Amino acid sequence: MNANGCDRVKELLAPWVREELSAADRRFVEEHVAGCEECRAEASLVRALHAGVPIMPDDLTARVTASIATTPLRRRVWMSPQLAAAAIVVLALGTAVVWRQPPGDGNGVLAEEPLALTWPTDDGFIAGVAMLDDLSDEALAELLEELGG
Amino acid sequence: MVKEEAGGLPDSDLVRLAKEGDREALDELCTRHIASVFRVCRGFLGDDDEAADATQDCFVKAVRALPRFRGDASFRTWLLTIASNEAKGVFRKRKRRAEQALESAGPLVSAKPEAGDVTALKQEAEQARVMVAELPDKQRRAVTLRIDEGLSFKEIGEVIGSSEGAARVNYHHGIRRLREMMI
Ligand SMILES: [Zn+2]
Repeated sequence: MNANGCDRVKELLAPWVREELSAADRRFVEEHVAGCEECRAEASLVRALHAGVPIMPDDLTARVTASIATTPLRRRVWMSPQLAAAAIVVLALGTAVVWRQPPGDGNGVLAEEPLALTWPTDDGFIAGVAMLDDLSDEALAELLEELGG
Repeated sequence: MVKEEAGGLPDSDLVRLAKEGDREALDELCTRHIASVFRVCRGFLGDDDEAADATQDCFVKAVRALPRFRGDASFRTWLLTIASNEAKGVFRKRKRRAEQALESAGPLVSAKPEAGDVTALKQEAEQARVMVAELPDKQRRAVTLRIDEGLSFKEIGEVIGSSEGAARVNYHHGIRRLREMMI
């Protein structure tokens, strides 16, 4: 932080423009900005950015809730080493449906829901396995680690 | 910096219920966070319709991935990470031109101008948002997550995949670059 508090003020400009600061912090920012041209310019920019925050269309919530109402809520699935190996082969070779196998049942009774679908996409990537492209980077990394183990 | 709705369950409880198949809990999570998801997508794509599509896809993907959400990060941060990645994917695919963001700039909100020069602020706001689209990826996301969503630098780091310190640097570099562009 510099001697005049500019660094601290610049950190607080976003919560300031969002009206999230305590009364004391707000006074600190506003008093500083009033006397500091550098921070006043930055405050002006941050206020302009905040003024341009986009507004969500009114009908979007209804549209999205309708959409997720038909999306299956999957439970975390147990994966046997054999199934993991099959998934890797499928990933390498092409389209397949991998069926969920309940834990502790080594006899291979098929469950009702597919665990995953895999297929090669147009651009050469693999889609699927709990919808690979649906997963966050972290979740994808976790899945790949699981497949590898 | 999640703001819980008065009288509502915290996200963590709703997530647990949703994982058990509770559709009402899922709807509440959606209602609570959809505006943030939309803004993140809109910030990337500069177009309301594309952002709406990306928002819908984000939630479908989040529901599918929910069994793998372990609660290490907040649900909001996790969801905004998915939104950010989704929008980034759409953005890359369509290689949108910057001027389209200008043409389709949305309505403005909560200007809070000092003296009432709404028109000038509106123009400045539009220009600023168009300039945001010109920033490098991580700077753009840091700036919009900080100003639009009020995320801490730690939370921004989780969303953009960097440290808290790098998120802070990306924000300040983005702001500095915007100031240079706005002159
Ligand atoms: Zn200053």
